[in-house]
Amino acid sequence: MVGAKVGVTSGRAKQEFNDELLRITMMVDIPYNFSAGTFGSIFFRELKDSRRIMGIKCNKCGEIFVPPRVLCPECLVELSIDDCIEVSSEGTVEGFTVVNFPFIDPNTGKVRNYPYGTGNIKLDGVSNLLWHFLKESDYSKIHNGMRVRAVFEDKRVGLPSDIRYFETIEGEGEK
Amino acid sequence: MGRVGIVGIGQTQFRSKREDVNSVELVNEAVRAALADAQLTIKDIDAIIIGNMEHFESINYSEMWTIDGSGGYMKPVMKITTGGTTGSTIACAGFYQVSSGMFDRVLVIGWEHLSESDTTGAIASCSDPIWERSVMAGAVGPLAIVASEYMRIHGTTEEDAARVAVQAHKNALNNPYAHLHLDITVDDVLNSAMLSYPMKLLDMCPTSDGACAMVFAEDKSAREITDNVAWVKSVATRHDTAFFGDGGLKHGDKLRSLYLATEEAYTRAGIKNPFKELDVIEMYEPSSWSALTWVDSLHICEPGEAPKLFEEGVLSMKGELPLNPSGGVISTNPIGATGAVRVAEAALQIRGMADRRQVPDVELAMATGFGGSGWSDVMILER
Repeated sequence: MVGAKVGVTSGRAKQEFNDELLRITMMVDIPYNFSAGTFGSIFFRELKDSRRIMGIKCNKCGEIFVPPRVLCPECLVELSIDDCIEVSSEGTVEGFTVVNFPFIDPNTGKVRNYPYGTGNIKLDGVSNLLWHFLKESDYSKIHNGMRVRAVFEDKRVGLPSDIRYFETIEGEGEK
Repeated sequence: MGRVGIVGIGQTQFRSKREDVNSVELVNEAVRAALADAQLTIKDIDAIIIGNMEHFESINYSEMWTIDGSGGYMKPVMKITTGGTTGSTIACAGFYQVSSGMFDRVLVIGWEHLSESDTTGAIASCSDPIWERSVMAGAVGPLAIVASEYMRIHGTTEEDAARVAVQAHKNALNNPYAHLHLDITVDDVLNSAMLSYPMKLLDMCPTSDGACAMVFAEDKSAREITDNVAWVKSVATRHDTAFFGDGGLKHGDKLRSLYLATEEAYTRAGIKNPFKELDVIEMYEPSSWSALTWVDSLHICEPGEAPKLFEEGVLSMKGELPLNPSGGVISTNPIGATGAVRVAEAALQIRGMADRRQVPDVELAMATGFGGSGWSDVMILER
């Protein structure tokens, strides 16, 4: 639209002016630096160095949560780094979808690759769900209750994407 | 505490692109309409609350530079940004401010100019930037995951969801403000593009440009302004935990925040049987699938009965408890205004001003808002 003639509204028919309305396009590229925090740093170090998924066990109710965090979301007890424990890298799909449309990824400013499978995964022994990528992107081959295991990147950098995705465990059936 | 009522309502035309106005002019369009409805001028307004998900347009300080539109110059102005609930939270906040006794007349404004950016990308930036942003696909992705859970628990079909979308769009045909006016069938929904299994294009709400404003007034002031007041009977809000993955925790099939917020709102309002006592509901349903889960959370049916209520027409315009005569969020979704539209439409029903979408003899109406990782606002209005 840039380049359209700029007019004045007074004394002119609105319809006529509508043809001259401008849209100003801006492209932004802004760097951000997010703090992973105490518990996040533990999670990403263990993931990067040892392919371990860390959770946190509430020292009051005993429930286990991923990712580790400062407060138990159920009983609101303050937790410490001593409460961090390794959890299973296998689990069950509790909810899923296959994203099949283009949109701008706010992490990159570019269109995110699609289609991709994603699901809420209940890691064995963990109380809440981990939201992550599924290897499978054909929705007819995914179902809730399906058993999956984490597949780690060979070169890990300390990001959630160090878990490349969760792949189907063949022959384990439903849980 | 005296009563608080809604005495003025203004909505803009909602469209996919309001290129004829900038955001200041868009806000002003709703403000002028609300003041005209209340037969007030901006001089009569004591305080202003403005709601907008400003980072959706990659902007900041919108309460500052929209001030020519809001009329906030040299008045107390507060901005609210609570995701999908922004519009319902400004209504709650308007009620809180008038209830406090500080102000007699508070103008609340919700607005969004979604066409100015990529809405799904913008919504994805709402999730925790480190933990969940890389998987989050705006509102569509997480709502589709919840839909898959609901399907599994209740054996719900894609046709059940499609029926909800058809009803919403049918109702929207009676609403001149609605963004989408689609005369569609169940097959049209089932044959529409698969956005994110099981969510199809026509199951999902659109992205809209528009604004909605309301004037909240204290008892005496309200009665001086008009004899047609929508009185606030009760409000309740519940927020959820931070991570979307936590949302599955002990949620079962309901939206826990809505289940608990409606329970509190009913108790405060003295409502024992909401299905019998409520005359109309304006529920924030971002998709057909969400409508099923959310209806199950309102204490008006047993878990898993929502599809049957839609199929039997119980929630249709001619049913026992009409849901979203306006066409709901499925037909119109200017995010910062969406929750405000629910309250405004419920208030129009109370005031008998809903024209072709009017439900007869409305004494008690409920509006809800939904946002974030799964939180809810509820406002109950009475004649």
